Amino acid sequence: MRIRSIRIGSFGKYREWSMTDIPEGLTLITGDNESGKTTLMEFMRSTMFPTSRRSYPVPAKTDSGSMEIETESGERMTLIREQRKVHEISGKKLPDETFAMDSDTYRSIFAMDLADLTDANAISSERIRNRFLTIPGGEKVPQVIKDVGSSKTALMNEDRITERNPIGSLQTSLTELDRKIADARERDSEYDAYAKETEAVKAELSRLVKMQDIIDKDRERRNGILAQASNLERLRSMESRRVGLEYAADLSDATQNRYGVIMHRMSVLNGAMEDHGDIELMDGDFWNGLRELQSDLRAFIREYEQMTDRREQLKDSIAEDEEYIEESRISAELSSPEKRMEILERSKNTGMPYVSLILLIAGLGLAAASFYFERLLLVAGAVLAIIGVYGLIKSKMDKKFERWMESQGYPSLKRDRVPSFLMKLEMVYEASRRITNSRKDIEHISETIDSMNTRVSQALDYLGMEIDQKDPMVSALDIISKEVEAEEERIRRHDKLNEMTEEFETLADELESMVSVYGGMGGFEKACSDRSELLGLDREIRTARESLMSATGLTPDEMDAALDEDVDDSIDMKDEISELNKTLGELGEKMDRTLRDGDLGKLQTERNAKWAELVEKVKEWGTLSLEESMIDLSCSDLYSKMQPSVIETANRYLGMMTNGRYSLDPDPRLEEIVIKDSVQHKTSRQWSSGLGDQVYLSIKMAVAKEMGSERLPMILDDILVRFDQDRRRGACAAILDFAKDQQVFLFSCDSTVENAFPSGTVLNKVRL
Amino acid sequence: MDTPFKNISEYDPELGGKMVDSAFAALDAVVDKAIAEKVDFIIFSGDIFDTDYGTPRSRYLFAEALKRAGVRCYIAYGNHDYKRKWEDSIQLPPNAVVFPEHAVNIPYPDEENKIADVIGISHSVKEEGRDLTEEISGSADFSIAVVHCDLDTVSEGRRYAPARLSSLMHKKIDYWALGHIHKRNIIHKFPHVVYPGNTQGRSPRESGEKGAYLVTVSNGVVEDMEFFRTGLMLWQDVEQDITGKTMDSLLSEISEKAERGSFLKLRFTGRGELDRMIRLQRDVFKDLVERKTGCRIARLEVNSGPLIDLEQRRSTGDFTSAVISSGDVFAEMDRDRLISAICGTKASASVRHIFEAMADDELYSMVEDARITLVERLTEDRS
Repeated sequence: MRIRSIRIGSFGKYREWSMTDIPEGLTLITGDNESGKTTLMEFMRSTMFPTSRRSYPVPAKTDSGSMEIETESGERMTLIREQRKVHEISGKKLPDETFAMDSDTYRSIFAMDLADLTDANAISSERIRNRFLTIPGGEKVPQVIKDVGSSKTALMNEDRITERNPIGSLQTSLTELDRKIADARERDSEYDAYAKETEAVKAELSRLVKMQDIIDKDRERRNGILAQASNLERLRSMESRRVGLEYAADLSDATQNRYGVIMHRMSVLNGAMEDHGDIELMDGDFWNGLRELQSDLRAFIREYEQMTDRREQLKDSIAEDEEYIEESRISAELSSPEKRMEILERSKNTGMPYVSLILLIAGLGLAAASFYFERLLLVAGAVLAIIGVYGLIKSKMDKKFERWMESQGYPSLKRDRVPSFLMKLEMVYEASRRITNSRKDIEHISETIDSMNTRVSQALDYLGMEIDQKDPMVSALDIISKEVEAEEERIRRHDKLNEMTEEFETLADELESMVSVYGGMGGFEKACSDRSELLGLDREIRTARESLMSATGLTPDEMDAALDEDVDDSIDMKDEISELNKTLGELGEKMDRTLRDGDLGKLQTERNAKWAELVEKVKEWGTLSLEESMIDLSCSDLYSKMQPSVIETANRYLGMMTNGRYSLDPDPRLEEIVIKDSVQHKTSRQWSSGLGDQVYLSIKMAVAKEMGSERLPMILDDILVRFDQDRRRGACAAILDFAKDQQVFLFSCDSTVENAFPSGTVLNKVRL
Repeated sequence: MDTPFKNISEYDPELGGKMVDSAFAALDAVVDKAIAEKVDFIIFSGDIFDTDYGTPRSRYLFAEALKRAGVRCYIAYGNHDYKRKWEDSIQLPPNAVVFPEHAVNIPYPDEENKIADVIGISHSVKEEGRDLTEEISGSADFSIAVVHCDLDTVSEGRRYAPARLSSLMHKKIDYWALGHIHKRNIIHKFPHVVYPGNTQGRSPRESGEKGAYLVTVSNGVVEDMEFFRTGLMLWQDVEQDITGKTMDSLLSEISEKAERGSFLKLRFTGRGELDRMIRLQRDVFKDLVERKTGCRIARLEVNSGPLIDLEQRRSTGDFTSAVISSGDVFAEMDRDRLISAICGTKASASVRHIFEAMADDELYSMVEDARITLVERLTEDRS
């Protein structure tokens, strides 16, 4: 698009002013200050792209005019202006709609005074940057960088760790937790020490308690000893008394008893001896004869009695035997052994053995014959015949014996009763014989008794004793026995008296021996009395000792020693025990507190959590750091290989203006425009005002080349005023280059500016 | 007990208290079960305490719990409690039997009336190099081995008291009560080789139900093994594909998978528009999930990607493609250079050690994370 003509009805100082047939390329409009350059520029840009922001010149109701423009397609548009309003004369769309350009952008990129030129916001805007200053996809880089950077900074300050950021805060927390954990561990580690100390304190306490116990017991013992002092004194008194009695200690109870016994016995013996008086005994020979006689008499009497008894027995036996013989009616002569033998022989001598033999033979003959004859009948007849023969023979023999017996004077007797009869005969015989023997014995006994009576009579006569003649021996024995007994009694008493006398004398000797040690009986009896007292005293001393021992646990000597001891009552362990108990309690409390204390576990868990959080945050930070690094690498890599065309164009213009010294740093990570030379990069804060003008002019011209659907006219109002001569020439060359294919209106108060253009340059010059 | 909870990135004191108490509550749950079931004895196969963190309180509470159990408690120490801290000052009750550093048989209930041989051994050093099972052999009676060891078939980390499963088969042991691995695992039956795992998970890695085994032995044969849960606080792994999901559908699906009140390790996969929100508005998104599920997000892994195809976009030549390509440069850097690239500022020197401590996977995942997040930023429509 280009401006073909300008007509101002009224605008600022302009009245009915016009410029027609404006060529393509560069139009240089010069004029002095206040000649209307800025007013004209304002009319041009606010007519093409109306805006309400205009402040110069002061809007007026008379503002009016028109501009004729021609698009690149050759279409012409006439823009009619009335005050601020603009319309196309034939109702076409206005340039802002037609060329997709808003008035602000046009004013900041295309139509600029010096203030507009140095307004960096336009080229820093996202829209401009994204569109013209970055490669595809890079438009978000600054924001991403910003986001990543702010996220990183939020986590950890780049320069130093502070607690305001999570990582710093977590590190501080961890340090604090480590300290707390160390403290808790220290507390825990002290547990063993506490336990050992407790054991040591307990041992010490036990030792002190034992000592205190000993002290208490000793005091108790001492008090007990003191309480027993009077008893000890009494004991010592008794022991002193005992010394005087000790001589009697050897006097035994047995001795004393013996003394009593002797004294009593001697008294008894003395009485008994007096009672016995004098005793006269028989002559010894007489006494012996008397005793011999007594003995003989007794033997005689015993024998006499036995013989008289025997004689009576014999008499009875004779009478009995005689009665038996008489009853048997057999004389003694018929019962002699010879007679009995004869009877026996007679009873056996009857010829019966021959008969029997005959009968046997006959029987055997019959038996043999029976084998040849009628056996049964024959045998029966033979047996009957034999029995008959036997009977006859036996009857005849019995009769013969009976007759013989009668002939001999014996009663009639059958032969089969002979044995019992023989026995009767034997008994008769024996009775007869006994009678004979008994009569002989009686005779002998009678003779002996007579002899004895004779002897006794002779003895009594000798003794001159009268005896009962009826029973002389008994009578004599009685008399003699009484005499013997009387003499024996006398002898016994005599012996007794002798015995007592002897005993008395023995006892007297013993007594003398016993008491002589003590100076006689008086001394002995005193010793006995003293000994009795000694024994009593010993009992009392023993009881007193036991009582003292029981009460004090000490012997009297030990008590004496104890009473003599110097005692230090100031020794006492109670305070130390109390202190140790207190220490023990404190240790127990500390140990209990440690056992109850779960802080370490919580602290460690909290530390682990904080650590995990720190690691997570650090990882997050590290990831962000890597994102940054990746962006850096991508930018470095990408912009070293390719740049946006606007940047290339701007660099060309800037190079022209600065004689090739400066170029733009195209890194999209930069939020502001940075230029660089061979030495350094410079941000806007490092630019001189002239250099800043050159940078912005370069960029804006480059953008103006690309921006809009058509190449819109560029209007520059006194923008070279801060350029030195060289830079101005470079700028003019760049503007001239720009104007090759895009209309440019260059306003300047400096009429010599045209000299800055290369020589030979054909300029459309307008002088206001 | 004692080992603090890990990797919960948001802490509040009330929850912290519950976490600390949960390990003791788990022990109480074991004891409650033992009392209710009138068991003969309880076995603790090591790492009851963490010596590095151990407190007198934990040992005291352990001793009190054993006292309350009343039955014999067999204890073998492991690599975490080999120091037997506080053992002198806080003694275990008489019903506790601690195995020494060389294997011994302590028959139950005693030699005269024994119904089982119980052979155990404890660690003597943190990194026990011995194969402790070599010292163990059973008998004709029912024999139990108590040992804290690292079996070749199940180890997930460093090896402590290494042992081979094959060698356990010929030791006349009927039940190997093992400790060390926190994940529950019945490795073999007849003979039984069992890791019951720990009783309370303490980090996102220890997810799933935690507890102990109630073992019933009848006539010398393991008749039953009942697992019972003791952990009050549940760690849960939830993986969620975002492909084609709206925010509502995504939250609903997570709610269905998550048990209310648990700690979530949330991992996103797939590609979709939601990737941008998850990445760029992470806190807002976590808050939304926590409100919807009633869970705490202990860990959020964003392995999802943007809707655009990065490989296709790589060739377009625009800025986004440049970013995608620049990611390659960082992904190919060695560790030191990468960490230096991250920690370029003065202040960041104080956090450099955190990056240096990271495993390669974690460190280089940040590169991919940055690349995708940057793409999301550059392609975000802000209009």
